[in-house]
Amino acid sequence: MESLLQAYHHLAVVFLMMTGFYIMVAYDNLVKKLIGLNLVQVSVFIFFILMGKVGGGSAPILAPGIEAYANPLPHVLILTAIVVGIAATALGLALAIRISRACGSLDDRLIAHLERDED
Amino acid sequence: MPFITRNPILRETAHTLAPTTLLYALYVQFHGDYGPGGGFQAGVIFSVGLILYALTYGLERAQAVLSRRTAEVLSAFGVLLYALTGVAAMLRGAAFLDYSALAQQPLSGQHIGIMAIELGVGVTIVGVVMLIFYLLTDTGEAG
Amino acid sequence: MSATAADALLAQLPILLVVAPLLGAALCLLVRDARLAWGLAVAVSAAALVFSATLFARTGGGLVLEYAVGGWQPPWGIAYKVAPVNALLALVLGAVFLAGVVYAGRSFRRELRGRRLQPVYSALLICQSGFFGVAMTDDLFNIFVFLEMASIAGYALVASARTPRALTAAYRYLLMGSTGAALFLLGIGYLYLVTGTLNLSDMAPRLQPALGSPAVVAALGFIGAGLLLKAALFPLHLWLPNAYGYAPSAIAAVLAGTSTKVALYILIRLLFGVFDAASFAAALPDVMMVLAPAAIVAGSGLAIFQRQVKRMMAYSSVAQIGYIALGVALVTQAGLTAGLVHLFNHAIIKVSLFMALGCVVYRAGDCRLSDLAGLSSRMPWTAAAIVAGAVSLVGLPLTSGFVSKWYLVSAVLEANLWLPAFVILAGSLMSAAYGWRLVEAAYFRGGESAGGAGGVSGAGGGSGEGGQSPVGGEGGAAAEDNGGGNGKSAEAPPVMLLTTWALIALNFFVGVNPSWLTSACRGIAATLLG
Repeated sequence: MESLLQAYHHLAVVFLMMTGFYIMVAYDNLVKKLIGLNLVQVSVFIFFILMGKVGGGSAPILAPGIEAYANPLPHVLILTAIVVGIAATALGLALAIRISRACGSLDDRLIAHLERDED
Repeated sequence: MPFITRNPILRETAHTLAPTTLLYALYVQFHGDYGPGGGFQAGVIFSVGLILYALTYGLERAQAVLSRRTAEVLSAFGVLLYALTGVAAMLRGAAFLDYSALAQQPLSGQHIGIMAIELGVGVTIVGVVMLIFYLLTDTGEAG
Repeated sequence: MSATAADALLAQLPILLVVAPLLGAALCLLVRDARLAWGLAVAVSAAALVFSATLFARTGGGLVLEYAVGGWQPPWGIAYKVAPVNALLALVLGAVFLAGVVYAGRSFRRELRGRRLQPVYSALLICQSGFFGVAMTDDLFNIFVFLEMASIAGYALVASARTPRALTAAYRYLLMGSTGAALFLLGIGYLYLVTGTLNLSDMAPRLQPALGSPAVVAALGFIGAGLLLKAALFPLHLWLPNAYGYAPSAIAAVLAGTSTKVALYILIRLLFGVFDAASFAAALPDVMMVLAPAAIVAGSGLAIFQRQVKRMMAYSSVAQIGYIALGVALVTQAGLTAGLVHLFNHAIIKVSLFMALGCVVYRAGDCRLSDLAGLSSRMPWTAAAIVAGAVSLVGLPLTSGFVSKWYLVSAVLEANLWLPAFVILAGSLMSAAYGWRLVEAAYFRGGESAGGAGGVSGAGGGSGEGGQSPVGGEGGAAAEDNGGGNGKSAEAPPVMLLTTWALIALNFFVGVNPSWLTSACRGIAATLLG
């Protein structure tokens, strides 16, 4: 229990991720599913950013009198991962626009129903 | 034109902000090797300026400034610049993207290298973000 | 002089495999003529195949190529490292992409009629660059970035068919693939947290003392879940049937040969190279040991009942991934060898099958079972290609499928596992069942009215095509001879047939002369198992 409380920031990560998964599973709207996916991704990003924190560490810029620096590597990694996430989100939104134009709906269950009829 | 705002305050604000944003993007771009910043951030800020312009004056005028085709060419050009900078280092006998080999002095080579790379990144980002913007605002059947 | 130049070039090959397709992708966007873009893509892919074959040949002699990108030495910089396992994957990728790109030229012009093809070729090359990057790099985060680069290009490629079904398939593929990627990234985070490094060669010894700690268990779980989702191991396969079934044929062929294989490759590398698969990480192979037979039975079983043949082949892929996973899950040298052999063989077999189906789509506009009726007289070469592929899937002797089944069954029996051995044989019977449905449709259905049936479907397709878009003289001409119902002229274009048959020839070559592949795979397995 105590270790759980110490790791409260990790609980935030878990909470965000589960919220994301819940949205992806529970909502039928395709754009909402994409938002859920984004929450999952962001939770992983936050996990990485927390990882770079060094207790009492300053920003990772060399300066006199400072000995502990935050680890910049996870932050740099996450910059890249954010770009990857943006690319996927942009593609997803563009697809959503085309889907709503082609199917007249963004409702996952409705579309799945129509597709089952077609098969 | 669904995007042209009739609100004068909004319009004037954007009118002032758009060119400033573009200028600021250039600052971020070319100070990226010393201060915080770099090609990606500059590219995004630059596209924000263009998008602001598009939101206030309409897509047509924005596309007159930067057409879809130009955006596509820009995104390809940036990737080419990036990759060719790396290949240039290879041709000088060093590893891919080893900037030190780009000039007589390793330090100035690194300056040249990072400038070229960041410019490539920035140009690509402007191209890609504008392409995404045009794709998402596209109301007709095109592309 | 020339020897040193050749050595210098060899040293640069790992990065060239990644940069050449990327340059090609950028150039494809710039050129105005779609055929020129295709030519560029073919040239780049051919170069990549030469590069990867060279790497495969050179690493076979025990050479391990290391490459420090940007001159930053490992473990600080991003390092590329080419051992035989990397070279094997690169060889698969090179062969599949070259065949796919050559094939795509005519296939795209028919299936993506009236569209600008430059972005499609560009995306295909970005996908290629990403997958080659995964194969070459020794940096875990780099693997993630390259994998996502290829995957996102892959989602766009599936959607490029622009039909409603393709769009929704691509959307679901994107949702599931990105979820898998997020889980994979989380696992990478835990590994970095524990070891402080991302370099795979550096990570393994550092992880050794920490094996068994909760963080490493979490890493194993997240990486396993994420990669199995990307590899579409049953029951995480839901994105696959529609994505392959409704993508343009050339894209379905390329993705079927690469995307799931690359995910499995990463899993193999991490499982054996970083986690200690035999002792600590045994939980993941245990899970795969349960899922893989289920995948074989469920995939083959569902394939039998498909009427759309591309989807049938997609479900068959689900089953074949089960075979590969089964070999890997044994965690023995024989099992891993069998898994790697089948990874290669299945890529070749399934790509040639999807290409043959693409030839059917080229003429008939679709490939339901009914479109195959009378195929043997209309398109004898295509029909024969489908039979060759189906026979290899079953695993009859002289085909590469036989080689992998042989190795797999002997590996399973060596481990005294009778139930999986039974499942493999049952899976073969089931693949014979759906293979027979294809043969029956192509050779025995509509046989009495070959001209009539061909004429009806041909005329329907022909008039539809002619009415939709008479693009260029060629489309019109093709529709004409199709509508004519003339048996001889209804075959697919020679380029498409040639690439299909080139892969089938490779397939039979492996079937007759498998020793080069199996000895390479055995060596890789021995290295991975330490």
